[in-house]
Amino acid sequence: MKSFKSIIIQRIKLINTIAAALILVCGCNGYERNENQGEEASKALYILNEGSMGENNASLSCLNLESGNLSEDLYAPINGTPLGDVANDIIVTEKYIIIAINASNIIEFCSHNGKHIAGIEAVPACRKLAVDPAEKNLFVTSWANGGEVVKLDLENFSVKARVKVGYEPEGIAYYNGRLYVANSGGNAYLGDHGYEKSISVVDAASMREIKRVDTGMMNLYGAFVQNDKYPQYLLVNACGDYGANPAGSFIFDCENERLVESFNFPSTYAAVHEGIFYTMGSNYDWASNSFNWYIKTININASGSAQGSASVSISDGIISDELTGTIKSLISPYGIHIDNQGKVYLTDAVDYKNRGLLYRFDKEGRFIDKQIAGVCPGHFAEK
Amino acid sequence: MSLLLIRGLVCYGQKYLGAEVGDTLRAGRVIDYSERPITPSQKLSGIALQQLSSQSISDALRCFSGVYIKDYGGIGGLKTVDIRSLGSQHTAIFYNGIKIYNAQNGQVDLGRYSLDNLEEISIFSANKGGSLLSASDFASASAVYLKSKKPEFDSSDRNLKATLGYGSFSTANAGLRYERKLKAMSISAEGNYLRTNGAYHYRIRNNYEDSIGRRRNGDVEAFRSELGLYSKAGGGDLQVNAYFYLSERGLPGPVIRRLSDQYSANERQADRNSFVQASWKSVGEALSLLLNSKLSSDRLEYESIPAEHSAGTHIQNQYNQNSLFLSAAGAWHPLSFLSVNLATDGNVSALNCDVKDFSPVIRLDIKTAAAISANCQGLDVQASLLHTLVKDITDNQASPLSKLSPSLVLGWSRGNYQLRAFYKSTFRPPSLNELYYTNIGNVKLRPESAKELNLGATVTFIERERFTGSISSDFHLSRIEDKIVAMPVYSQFRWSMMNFGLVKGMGAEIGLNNSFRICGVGCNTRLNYTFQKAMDCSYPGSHWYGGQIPYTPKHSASALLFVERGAWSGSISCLYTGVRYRASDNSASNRMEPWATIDLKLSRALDLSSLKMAINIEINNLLNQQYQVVNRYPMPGRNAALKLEFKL
Repeated sequence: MKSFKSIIIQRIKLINTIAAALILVCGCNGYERNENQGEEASKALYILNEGSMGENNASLSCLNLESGNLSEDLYAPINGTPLGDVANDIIVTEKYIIIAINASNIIEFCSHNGKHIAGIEAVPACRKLAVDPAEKNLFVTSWANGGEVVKLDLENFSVKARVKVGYEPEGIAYYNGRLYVANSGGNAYLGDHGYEKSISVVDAASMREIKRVDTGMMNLYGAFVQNDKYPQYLLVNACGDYGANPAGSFIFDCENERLVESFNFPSTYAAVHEGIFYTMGSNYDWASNSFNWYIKTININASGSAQGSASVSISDGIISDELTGTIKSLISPYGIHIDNQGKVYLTDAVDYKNRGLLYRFDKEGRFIDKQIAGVCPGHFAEK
Repeated sequence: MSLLLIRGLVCYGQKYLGAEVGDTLRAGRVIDYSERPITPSQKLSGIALQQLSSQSISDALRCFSGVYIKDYGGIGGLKTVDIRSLGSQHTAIFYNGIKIYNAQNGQVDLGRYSLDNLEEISIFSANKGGSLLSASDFASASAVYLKSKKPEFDSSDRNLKATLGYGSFSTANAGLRYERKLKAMSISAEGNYLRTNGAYHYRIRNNYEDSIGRRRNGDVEAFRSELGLYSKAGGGDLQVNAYFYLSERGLPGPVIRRLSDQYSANERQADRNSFVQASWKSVGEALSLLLNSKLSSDRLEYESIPAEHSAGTHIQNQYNQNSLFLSAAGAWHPLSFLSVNLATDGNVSALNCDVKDFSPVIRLDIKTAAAISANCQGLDVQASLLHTLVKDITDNQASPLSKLSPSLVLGWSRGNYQLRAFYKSTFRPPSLNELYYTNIGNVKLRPESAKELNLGATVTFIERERFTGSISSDFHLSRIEDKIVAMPVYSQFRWSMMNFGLVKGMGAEIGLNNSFRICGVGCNTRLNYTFQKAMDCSYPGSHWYGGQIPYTPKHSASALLFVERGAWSGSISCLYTGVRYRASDNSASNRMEPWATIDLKLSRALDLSSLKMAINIEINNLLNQQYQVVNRYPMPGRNAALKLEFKL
């Protein structure tokens, strides 16, 4: 005969089990708040799907890292509207998911479960996002007004300041009170200016451009990854002019504000984990009617001191042969990410019109699964 | 009467019998069934065409089976026609027998050709049949033929017609047409002006969205004028047409998520199209000759004005295209059952634009065709071979293209029955934009090929003069290879054109036409049903392999009813388009809901001594169906128009 107490305990256990199952089943509709910060395992990986221009089908997918289930569209079902037209960047802060929706000219602020909180139109043609460590300000690069960086207050979403940088600014990173902005000049084909080669250095507090560093590499468009272990180092991609000036990439030192080392291969899509950059890039060879692949692992051996010089070593391939081989088999690789547990994610946009694919690999580079994501899945953020 | 019709079915290629039979039938408000070709065809002409409530040719074409119109909305939106989902570039458009040629992008915007002065619209798969075809008639998988009105005089030697119209969205139009019979020829001259603000309300509703709004920047202003000259010369019929079109319009763009109106689209487009064409045809017992020529000049100006403080540069580009076309075709009937057709066409087009790094292009397109038609005891065979040579002259030009297109058409007629079959292999060369447009063009592009196999039958019923009708059905298989698509080749920012696509199609069409009189009311009904499966087989192994290609419904249907009694006449047209998908990945998020529209038109003719007047009222989309043909480009809801016609 069961005592009253044991029945209560059993009921509580049952309720807990049901609750846990519900949370798992509902995926990312709820989240658990961990009391201790720092080296906690992330609960969710957000994948931002850019969508096709003019189709208004950008979307936010969410991969539940415990169950491995991907919910393809987190935003539209809850909010009664699609995210917008061509989303370009995503950042997760403690309070918000922030998304730059380029063609809709919207910066979207929503909660971690996708519910819309606010949207602003003050930064048209928004491209990339950065936040300061205190998460008080948001910095956005924009192709409007000849190229500018806009500072927004994360309390009330108002514009605090704007500063003009080079034409068509792309990647942006915050380091030691300053913003480092890669200028691409990507609209050079329209005729009124050429491709840019510079990185603008902006003082984040006063929003003044302090200097522009000429990197010697042209059209700084594409991946721009800040090293997690040594935040002073940025990996920057340079597309060249698709003709005489070939694509390449380089490591930039924010501490000394100069180029550390440049490479003759493109780093079109890149990720960083425990200080190591992993990149994949390709360029099309018209003569052989095929792609040349550059799949590299870039190791930085740096002391991180202001005086110290970093030495860079490059090896071919990423983590495992299986992973590297899979990258080569993708039709249109569109992104790579490594979560804080070391798992590797690849996305394939395939034909850029239909929904792409998300591949998962464990930290040894062994294939786990592939799932259907949204159209042009390309940007990642962890919670 | 019936005997004449049957002879008409068989003698399509021989002497033109149509005139006698057609006149009688036309008086009875029945569609002309004589001269039925052995290829799948549909036609709308005369009173039926005038009675259709429609603003442009695309509205009339929607009523045919197997036809898909891609419409970007409103009067000003681009409208292209695609027959049997092979792609709009595989459908050629002919105006009075001469092709409307656009070397730049291979597309003809149907919105700018008015129904007002059209006598007949017909569509054909394979070719239009007959023993005297020009080389261009063999070159496309399908073709649309537009025939303009020839002046007709009853008592006087001059006619004058004025039209005035006003409708929803501040649409106003005015037109004047003058016809004069002279000793040796008859001439016609007309001018037409149209203006609309295109600001219609819309609602986009699907699984995740319910947004309403009003179309902005969709205004259009257009002026069109035409001159026609018709005479008998040199033992044949000569027809000369001059055409001039001037327009300025806004491009509203797709409806995308916005928080306010401050960044509304501000793209503008101005067009100037003009051509002069002459066609001379002489039909004889043993020898027939057809000579065509055309000189055209087109200019397009595009401007994009960015909203203040938004992104985007001020873009302004001008595109100029000038062409000369010459064609000669001859048919020789050595024996009563045999006919040999030889034809050659030459077209020179020069394209120039001020896009950065674009060098001017001259395209030479020479076609030569040979066809043999034979008929024996009701069995008709036509075998043809077309050779096309396309050569471009420009910096870094593509290699010349030389390709053969064979076709075989069979038909068997006996009494009221006709069976038909054809196989045709055609291609379309890459357009100048696809090859040479700065940063996007790819000079290594191959042509896109289309192969089609068709089986069909028509049964005609005639019961005295009270009831005539026919039922027609076709089944077809098709294959498009080397489909030219845009893909990001260089980087996700820089796209280029590539041959990368395979589409396998299968379809069936059934059409029923009837004419009859009940209680003094003349009625004409047309019912059409189309089934089309078009599978995207471009990416084997992808999760959408075999999916239905974008914007092609599996099921679509139309029902038209024309009625007339005395001074009153009217029409109801109902169109249904089934489920479509905006991408080959036929997922729930890509689904486009089915839609149905009903258009009504009512006319009353008034005779006031020498002035003949007609009042027309149109109500389109009666049920205010909210729908999009192209994703994110909503179509107008319910709208109405009033038109007055005065004839002297």
